[in-house]
Amino acid sequence: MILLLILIVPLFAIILINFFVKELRYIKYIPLIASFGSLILIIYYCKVNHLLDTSTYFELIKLYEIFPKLGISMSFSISKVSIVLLVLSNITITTALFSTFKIKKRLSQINTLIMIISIGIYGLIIADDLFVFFLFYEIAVVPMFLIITNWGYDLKREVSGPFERVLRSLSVGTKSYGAYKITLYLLVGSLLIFLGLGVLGINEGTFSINEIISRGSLKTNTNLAFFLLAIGFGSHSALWPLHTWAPDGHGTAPTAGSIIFAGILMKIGIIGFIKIIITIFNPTFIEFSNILIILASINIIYGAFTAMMQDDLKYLAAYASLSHIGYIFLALAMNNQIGLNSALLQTASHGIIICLLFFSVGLIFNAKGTRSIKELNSLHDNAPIISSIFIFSAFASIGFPLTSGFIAEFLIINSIALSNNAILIIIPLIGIFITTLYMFRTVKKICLQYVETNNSYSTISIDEKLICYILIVLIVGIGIFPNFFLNFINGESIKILVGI
Amino acid sequence: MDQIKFLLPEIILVLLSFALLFNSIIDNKDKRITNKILLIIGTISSIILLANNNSEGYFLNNTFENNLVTNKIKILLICGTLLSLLLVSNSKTKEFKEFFNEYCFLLIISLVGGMIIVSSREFLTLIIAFELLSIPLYLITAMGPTSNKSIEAATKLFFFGTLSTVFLIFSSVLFYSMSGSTYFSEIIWSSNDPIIILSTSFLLITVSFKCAFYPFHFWVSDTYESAPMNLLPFLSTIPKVAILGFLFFFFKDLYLTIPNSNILNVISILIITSIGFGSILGVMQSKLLRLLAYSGIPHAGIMLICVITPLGISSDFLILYFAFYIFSNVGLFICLNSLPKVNEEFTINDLKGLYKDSPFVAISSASFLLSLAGAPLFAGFWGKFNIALISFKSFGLLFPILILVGAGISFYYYLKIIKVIFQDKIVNQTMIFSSNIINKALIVICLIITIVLGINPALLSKFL
Repeated sequence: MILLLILIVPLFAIILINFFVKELRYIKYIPLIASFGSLILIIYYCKVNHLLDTSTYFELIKLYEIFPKLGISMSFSISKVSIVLLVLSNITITTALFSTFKIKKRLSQINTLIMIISIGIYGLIIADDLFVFFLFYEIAVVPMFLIITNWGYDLKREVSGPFERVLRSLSVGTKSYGAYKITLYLLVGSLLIFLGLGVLGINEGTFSINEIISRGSLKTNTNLAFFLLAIGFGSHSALWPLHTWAPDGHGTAPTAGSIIFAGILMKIGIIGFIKIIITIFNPTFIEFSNILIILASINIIYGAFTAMMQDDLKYLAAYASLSHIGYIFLALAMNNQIGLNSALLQTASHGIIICLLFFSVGLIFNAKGTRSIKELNSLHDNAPIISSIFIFSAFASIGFPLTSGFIAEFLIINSIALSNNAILIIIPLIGIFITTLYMFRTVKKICLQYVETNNSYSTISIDEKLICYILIVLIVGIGIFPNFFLNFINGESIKILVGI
Repeated sequence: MDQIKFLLPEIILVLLSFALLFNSIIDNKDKRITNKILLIIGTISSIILLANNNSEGYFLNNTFENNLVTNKIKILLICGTLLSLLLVSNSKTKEFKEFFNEYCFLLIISLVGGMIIVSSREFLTLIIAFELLSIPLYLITAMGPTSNKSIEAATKLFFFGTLSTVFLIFSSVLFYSMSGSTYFSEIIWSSNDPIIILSTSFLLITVSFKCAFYPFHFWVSDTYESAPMNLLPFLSTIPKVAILGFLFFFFKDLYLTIPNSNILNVISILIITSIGFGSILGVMQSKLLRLLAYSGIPHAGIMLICVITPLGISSDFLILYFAFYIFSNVGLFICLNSLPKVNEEFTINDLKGLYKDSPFVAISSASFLLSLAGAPLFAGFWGKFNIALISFKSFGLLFPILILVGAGISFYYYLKIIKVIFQDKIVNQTMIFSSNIINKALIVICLIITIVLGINPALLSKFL
């Protein structure tokens, strides 16, 4: 019950920074304090309920009935997996808040929007009712449009080819183009998700996820609901044919927006997969998992190859994160315990690494005023700290030993080897190989290449240093002590797979 | 005589309107305060009468019916009217200071017409009630600030209004020729006679004119633009809610036997065009009032879906949607009323700098817009998506997809307004936004209801 306070804490911050506080200093730090308070709440909750000692944990909170005749009620359920996801989104939100420090223009409003997104994402993770899940989902999605259109960047993209006139009339590359593209994709995704949830809930006669799972089997044939939900969540996580919103959105969004995209919004689809599709539709999911394997493989290899050709650092990071999302889906499709563990680990690890990557790209952009790989050089001489952070995040996203990415990718390969199609090991290996290529090339070009004319020295502020170091410690910490994390979720993932 | 208790709330309201009219003759300096007191006492007492539910059943030779649902709809109608009248009593314009009592008289008569429409179960009373609802609106529309344009708008409204009444009379004649009775309950819905389709279509044409469904919507934009801003909270909600409430009871018997699929097809076409084209019309507008006028069309379409859904629960959802629509819309128009109307061309860009001048009005109008768009944690979310759910249960995937696509498009144009509200002022803009204490109180009432219903919509059935 205490955990529900994390839905209210951001609300207080919103009210404070909008109505009571006018000084920039306070507007900066109040949301941070609120976010930190949520983290303390989560830790306190874990401590009170002895979550570290027990293998599984489940708490169902039913606040009130909304429509008893349809079986909709305001109910939440908390398990160990949701605790992991809560901590991850808390870290992402905190990083996003740190990245807004440089914004002078209407800081209180962007912080308000980030806080609203955080309410949405926390509620989404702990919702037990399908309709409440959709409610918080919408809360998380809508503010993104405003963040991009108000604080985004216009890109100067060269348009050419047979569709030149069409693309030009759509004003490709501007921030409003990115914002509308994202909103369109996410709205279509939410339409499919709503229809899927509606079909499922109406057919079952109840909207409670817990109740549907505890029945064991579904009443009716649910291929329709399954496909609606899978396509909806897939488009949300940028699964291959529906991925094109991601690079444009990342490219035009401000740094905070990119961090939230990659760290949270792309994870919504994965949360949906873990929370609804794998648990409720388990037989159907196994039946169609081959399709998911194919799409995830395309994501890994296509994302990596496309990242190789990018000139804009943000586009590079966006395609890299596409490729990493592919690993998660591949691990989920294996449908064994190591697969689920590694998918969760990769979700957490990718969430933190991509935060750091986008944060460092933001730092580079702030320092040098450009994100183009062609124009950037001699970063390690001009801005040694930024350059070090960027190099670290590049290595982490390759999956270098001692970082969390290494453990996650190792476990994913392990889970594929244990499954029936062990030949698929080759796909993550190719992915890792190409990732290594383009990351090394980028690091060499922008950090290590020295050109004498460009020598304006720049450094970063103490706040930015702080959040970077926290993220680095987290990445290395999971990399060195993965067992802490794995023991925490092990019992839970067995429970999900067995379907109790 | 004992049947008079069924009509007591309406009678109280009529007496109230006459009292207000007499009050204007008496030479009294504090006229406005006595007016407000009279208004509040009269409306609240009729609301209490309705809320006690001690007058259910058929009365006056079965021409009227009172039940729980009609009482709830009537309470919502009175609440909407009370809010908009209190707004008018508060306005600074000269016309409304002088003619406030007449204005009140007309609006309350119109409200009584709406309440009788909801109760009536017979064609002749229905026709009279329709006229009672419409004629005061023609008069008030002509009271607008720019006399030429308002008279044009009033003429337009009058012309199409009377035309639609003609259709209603014709339709009732056709129904009578078929069943030999003017009662709704005598209509044989399952018959294969083409006349029933014709007469239902004529009735739907009338309804479409009044509620502005898609092919008959053309008067809305002009009227909204030229009518006095004070009228808009009333004009945009009360007629729509009253007539759709009537339709809910009119089509109640449609499903008793085998439903006539032709009639359902006609209604479906109306719904599809209203939600589809209505949403697209809103996208292309840059003038604020025209945009809001067009944005009402898809809302009416969604309510019509709920009206024809044959489930026991659909009346609850219809009332939820009515409540959400009335309070969000009235709240939004009260917010807009606190802005100075610079010129006739009231574009969206004139709202720039609203957040700087008055954060309260800015945030509350943004909340109302989000509620109308169907954003979560506001009442509109439950309104829209529950109707999508129950329409899936009875009609399949078509209507939910329609509602969601419409909601997506409406997000586009409502967010467009919200984006402007929070932008900075143009350099040479001299407008200063301000609102007085009573307006703020009214806004707070609407805001609280919108947000509370958004968090727990089940509270509505508890209190109402």
